[in-house]
Amino acid sequence: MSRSFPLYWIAFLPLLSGFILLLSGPRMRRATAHLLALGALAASAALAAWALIDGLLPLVQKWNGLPEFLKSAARNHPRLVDDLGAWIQTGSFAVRVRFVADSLALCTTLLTLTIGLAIQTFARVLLHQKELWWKNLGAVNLTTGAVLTFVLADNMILGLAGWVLAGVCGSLAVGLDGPSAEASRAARTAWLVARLSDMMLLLALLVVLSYCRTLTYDELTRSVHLLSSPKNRWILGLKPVYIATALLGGAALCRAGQFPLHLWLAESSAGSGLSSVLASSIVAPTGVYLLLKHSVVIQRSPAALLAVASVAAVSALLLALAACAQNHLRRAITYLAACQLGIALVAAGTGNFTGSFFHMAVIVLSSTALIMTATAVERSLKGQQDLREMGSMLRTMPVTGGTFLLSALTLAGFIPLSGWRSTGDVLQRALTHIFPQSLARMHTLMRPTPAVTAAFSWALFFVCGFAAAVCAFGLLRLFFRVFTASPDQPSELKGKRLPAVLAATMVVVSVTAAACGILWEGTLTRWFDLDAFLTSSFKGQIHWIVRDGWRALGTGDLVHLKSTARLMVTLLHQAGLLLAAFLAAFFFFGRVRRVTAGRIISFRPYRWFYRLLYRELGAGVTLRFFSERILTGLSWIERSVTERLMADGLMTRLPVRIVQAAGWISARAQMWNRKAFIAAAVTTLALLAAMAGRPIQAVSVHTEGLAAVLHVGTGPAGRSAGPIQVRWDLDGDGRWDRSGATVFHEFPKAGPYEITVEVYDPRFKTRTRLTRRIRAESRRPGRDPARLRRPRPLDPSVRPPDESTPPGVVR
Amino acid sequence: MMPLALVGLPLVAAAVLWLMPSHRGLAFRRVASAGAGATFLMALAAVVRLKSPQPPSPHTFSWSHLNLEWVPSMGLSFHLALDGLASVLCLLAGTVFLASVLSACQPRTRNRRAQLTALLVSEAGAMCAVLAQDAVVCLLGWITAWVPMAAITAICGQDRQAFEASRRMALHLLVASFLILGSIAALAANHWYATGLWSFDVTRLFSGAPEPSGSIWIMTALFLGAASAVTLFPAHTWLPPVLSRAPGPVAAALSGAVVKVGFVFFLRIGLPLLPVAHQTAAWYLAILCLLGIAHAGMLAWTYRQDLRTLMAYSTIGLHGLALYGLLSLDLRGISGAVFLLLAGGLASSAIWLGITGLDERLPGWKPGQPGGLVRPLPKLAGLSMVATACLVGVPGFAGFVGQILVYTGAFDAYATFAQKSANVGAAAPLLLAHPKLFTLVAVISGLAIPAALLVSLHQIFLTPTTLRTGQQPADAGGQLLVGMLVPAVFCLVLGWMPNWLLSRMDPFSRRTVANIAAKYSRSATPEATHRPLAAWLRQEAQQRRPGSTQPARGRRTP
Repeated sequence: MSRSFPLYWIAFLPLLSGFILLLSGPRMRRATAHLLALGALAASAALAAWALIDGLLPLVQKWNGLPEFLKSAARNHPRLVDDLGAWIQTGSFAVRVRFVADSLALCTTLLTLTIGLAIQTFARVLLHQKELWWKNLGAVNLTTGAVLTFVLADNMILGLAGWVLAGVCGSLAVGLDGPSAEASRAARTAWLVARLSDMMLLLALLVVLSYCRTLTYDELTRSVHLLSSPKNRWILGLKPVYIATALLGGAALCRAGQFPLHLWLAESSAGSGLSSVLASSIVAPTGVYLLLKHSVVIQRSPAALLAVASVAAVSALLLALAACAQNHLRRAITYLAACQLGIALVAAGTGNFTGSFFHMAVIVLSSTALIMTATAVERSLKGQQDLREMGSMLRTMPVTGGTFLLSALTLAGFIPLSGWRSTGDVLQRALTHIFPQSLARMHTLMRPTPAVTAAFSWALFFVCGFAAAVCAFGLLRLFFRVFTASPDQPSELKGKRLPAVLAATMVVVSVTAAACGILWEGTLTRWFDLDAFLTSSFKGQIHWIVRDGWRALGTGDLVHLKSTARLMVTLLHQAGLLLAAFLAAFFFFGRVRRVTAGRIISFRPYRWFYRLLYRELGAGVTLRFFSERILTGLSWIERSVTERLMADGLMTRLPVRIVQAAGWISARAQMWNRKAFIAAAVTTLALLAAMAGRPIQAVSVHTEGLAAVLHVGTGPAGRSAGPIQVRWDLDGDGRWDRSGATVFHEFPKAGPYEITVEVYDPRFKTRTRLTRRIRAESRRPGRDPARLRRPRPLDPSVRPPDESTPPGVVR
Repeated sequence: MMPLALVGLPLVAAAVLWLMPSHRGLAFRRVASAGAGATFLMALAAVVRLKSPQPPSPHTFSWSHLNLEWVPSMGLSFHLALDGLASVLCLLAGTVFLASVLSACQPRTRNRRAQLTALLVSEAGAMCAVLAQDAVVCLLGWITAWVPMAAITAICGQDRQAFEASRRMALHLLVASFLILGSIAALAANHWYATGLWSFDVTRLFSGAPEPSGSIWIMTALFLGAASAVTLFPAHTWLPPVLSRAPGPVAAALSGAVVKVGFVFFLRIGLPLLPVAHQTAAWYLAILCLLGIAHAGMLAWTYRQDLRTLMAYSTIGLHGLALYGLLSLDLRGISGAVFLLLAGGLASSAIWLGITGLDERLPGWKPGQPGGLVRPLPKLAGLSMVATACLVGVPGFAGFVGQILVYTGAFDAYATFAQKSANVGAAAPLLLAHPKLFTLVAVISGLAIPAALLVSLHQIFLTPTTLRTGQQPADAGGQLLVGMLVPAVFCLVLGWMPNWLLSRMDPFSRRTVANIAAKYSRSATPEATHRPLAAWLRQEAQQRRPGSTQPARGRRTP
């Protein structure tokens, strides 16, 4: 289902205006140049909006009206196409200049253009005193055009061209943003990292071309199975899809500024705010988009994806810790943005493509608003960028402070803002969806035991959750430090009000970031059908295991399921936020008693972590510290708290415990700083461990008419204690009807049913029950229940549950 | 007549220049510019005219002919033809020499008449080598191209070591010429043995006889000679000192056109006439190419503070990559290699002219010293950065297209090589079970040169400057600006519209691949082609086999 539309202009207009500005900028008046830069982006955005309203939405509505069997038979989802002919052609090898806008591409296009417009509006205020102002304007438009070329490209070579060009233009923009040696060094770093990511994408392209014989995304959908064919093996017996996924993941990690290649993003803060916001909000997110664009390839290799997700999670944690040690305002924000991009990469690495895109959108909008406000603060302080010299800015810059706080809370995941929805979704799906299957597929490399499976999934979950919490702390620390704490030198602070245009831009971007989560679930998902688009093939294969909780909200029969599945994530997030708020309160406290706060700050466990990671890793003192203190304390707290919470079953008292723990930490920390901070960190870890260790993590129900597939996500089974046992009561009569983690059931008639699931964990000898109410409806036309009964597994090596499975045994 | 005009115009201009009185400075410039400009326009017209989708005959793959007998008893003929390859390389030579001549026309050029004359003679030789269908004429043309370069480097070099560098260049290329001549003679002898006729015409050599016995040794001699000509590792050592010390326009012409013209020995003689030998040895040659790319990248990064040496090593790395693509014998590989040579030649000539401009304006400059030259020299900096972007393969420039074609063509082709060379009996595939890794290594190795180039250019143009207010140098203008602009425009145009040239090159590449396949199938029997090597390998294998009745080597009967 496609339609022709002049998409070429969406990418070409920014590119053309960028070239014109670079070539003839010195001879243009400032107003004309700004008008050209803004006008090109605005025209491009208008065209994209027109494409959305007049082109794509009618197709999507038509698509949504189709019966399911027609949707599954259709080759493509709704899309707009623009074919300009062959670009490179020799023999039968042809690379066409063909642009395609599907739901994902058009959403990303609009997002990129929104940020581009905000940057150009911002530049009008920021560049009024600079000499090479036209080059900055041109570089912004060139980068935007290059990113749009990558986003809208229909084949991998055109996409590679956009990708490479985005890296080059991004580094050019960083280098041109200020004459200082730091900007110059930052540009060089950005260029080197960009080349590394280009190389990885090129290698992935070669692997895909070699086995699939095509580089067009349309045709790749049909021939991608060749990448994972058993006949095609490579070094060490690896399938090509593993290599391709690892390379794509590597390119994404480089571009998204993940550890240890994060320096290009961090150093982009050397110039004015333009390069920071351009690098953090336009160039770096293309790393996440790369994985989404190639979802058809990477979802065939969950093991390699898991490796990418693991690296991204560790990187997110390290970046969050490093951000807390920064005293340069914009540098700290770029670190935090990179940390959140790492979490978005974790989402993509766990197969949660919709959540990844949603989180990326939240990051892009929030970090744009944050960097703009930070630049506004610096501008009002005449270039002062050191956090230690800032404070009490809320009085003089209330709008800026409010915008900063709203964006920080959004990015930190404060309830009920967008970040809460997106981060929660990422963490929930990370734990419940992919990991056991991914690890089961690693049979070519290793044979994971259940303990290994558990360790992987939980470790990833912990790391991500902790990174999100530390990131929240870092954001609130910045807010309190800049806007409320008393400064070291009060006489030098002369904050002044912003121009109305800049303030309005900041507020609009910030409010959009905060509110897009509210719109997301209802309107945006339904309009764009993003979920169906991104997970269509993925869903067909794993949907029989876990119902997508995201879309279950709309049906109304899974309210309890939603609350249960998100309980853990919500609590986890709340815990992180409490910790962040608590630590940030120290800085607020320091407003009254500067000396006390200074002492606390002088310790700064995050700084210690930072030094530890960068300088002293591997030293004997580190090992002793870890072995003697952290692990001992962690194990003790984990054992006592976990057992207690397990006995509570669904942990109904957990919020009370968290509040109590926070209060205890707060009380202790005021007296005994160092150990209190360590205790806070350890307690947080323990709480996370306790929350993740619940026997029932999620229950999903997927109904099609009277047929239903029910699945319960459980914690891992202990090796010695035996497997976890699951029983189901499907008709509410008090007798157990089925056993096993995943069961298929056909209800006799339509109506509401009360189902009960009981999980027995032999480790703790606990039985946990959960009752849910679902509604079975009469069968929809066009769906074959047999198809639901025997869904096709992802890989032949993974068998679906069958009748030969012993009752009550979770495989 | 177009081939003759392409060779003759620069020669005539050189002769006029040489005969003019020495005080006519302005006339020198006009005559040289007119000669180079007319040749460039002629080369451009040749490419534009080349629209026919198919060549007139299956084995000649050329359109415009000039065939004059030279020594009939020896079969030597002055046979020039304009086909897809020749037109592209003519365009490269015409553009690069035009830029060099315009740059050398500047008033501050030392010994201007000698430089201009040498450039024009060298252009004529390069055109002759590119257009020649006779192997000996091709060799003579190539010698005519490099001898003036070596001479002018010795005469007008920047310091006393220029003479040493020039001598080393001459020695290398002299040996290379003899090696190439020897291999051409062996091929002609094979043709005489099969047909009873002497001929050095490539089309006759191709269709006359199958690949000769022991062709691997002929190929080795040819490869060693051509490797020196195109500065492949490890025969590359003469290029960096020459380029470091030669005058700027000469370095531009040498790096941009003369060295690249040496690839005709592979494209006209080596690959079509000795396909089995090339495929047998492809592994070793590919390893050499990869070593060359990696070595050049390493040294380029080491010398990133010396732009001249860095440019020399980038040329060496580029040639390694181009030969790697050629050896794939794939349509994409061959087209991409030629396109890459074109893009690299245009870009490096523009960069060399930029270096010349900097030398004239800021004697003793270095990367970072004074730095920040984009402000006082925006045109020179802009054109240099455009050329650098082309050289490193930024999308939108010609280099990107060439690199993509080479990588995609070579990635699969080496797997085919493994099978073919295994059939013939070479032992290399036993050692290298993963041919696709070669291209991966090539991609990774190629990372260093762009990084070094960008870092160096960045230090020159974008870092904070140490120039004082009164020291602002004048920006590029006049001949230098035009000389840099012409290749830079081609870099940009060919990056956006590569099909304009690829469609003209496609019949040549396709015909080359088909002919090589036909020749391969006709010649690829171990008994007929590789008797010494194959027999020896077979004998060794039999000796290692348990229960073999073959006698041990020491007791072998004759």
